[in-house]
Amino acid sequence: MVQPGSLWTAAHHKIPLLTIVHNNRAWHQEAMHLQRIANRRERQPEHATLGTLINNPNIDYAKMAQSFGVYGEGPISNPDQLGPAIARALKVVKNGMPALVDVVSQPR
Amino acid sequence: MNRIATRFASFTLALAAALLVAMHGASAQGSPSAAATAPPGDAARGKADFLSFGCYECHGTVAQGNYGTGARLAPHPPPWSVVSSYVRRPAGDMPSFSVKILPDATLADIYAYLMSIPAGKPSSQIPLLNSTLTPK
Repeated sequence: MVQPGSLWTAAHHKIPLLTIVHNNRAWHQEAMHLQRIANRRERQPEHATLGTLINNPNIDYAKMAQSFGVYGEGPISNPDQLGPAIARALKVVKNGMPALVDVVSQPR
Repeated sequence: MNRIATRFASFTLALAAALLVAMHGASAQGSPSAAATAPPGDAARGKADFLSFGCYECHGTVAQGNYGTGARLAPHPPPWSVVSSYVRRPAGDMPSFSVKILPDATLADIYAYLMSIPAGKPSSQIPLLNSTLTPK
């Protein structure tokens, strides 16, 4: 999300790079910090996720990768789909091109 | 001792200390939140509160816990007396939730949600795990 241009660089130079996104859909370190401070000061900890969640809408990193010319799969939220997706992505990488797999994960 | 083992040892000690504190609190104070029997709560509301109050951030979205971040709370959560005491005065990295920011009634709803979470399938019934764990 912050530096997707590197995907274009990988595609442009045909760098066989496998990227797996640990997608917890949050700036979670920041969320945890806000949670801790809110609790300490007894100020509405339920507001700690304001501005720290990256959802609604969810980012489609696979489509983002594809827009840069990188093979992309996901978002994957079913564990049954993870192994085959990584296998397909590795096949692309072994053919000399970059690939990205977007995996939805728990917060931590 | 590696870092993971150290954290696990710290967590275990903290949990043991918390259990002792909770048991002492339940017997000595006799407050409603330290009672051994959970007060009635609304599981649906508790699920929403579990997410909005940030419990899921460490304990996972269905309270499954995660190694090194937060203890597993479901299925089969710890007794109400333990949970209600630990939330107020936790050990380790967990932030405390005072009655001011997490009223007893809300905590009871969250506990009702934890109680309502069913057990998952045993690993023997999950094909993906079996295919991964079975020696070739």
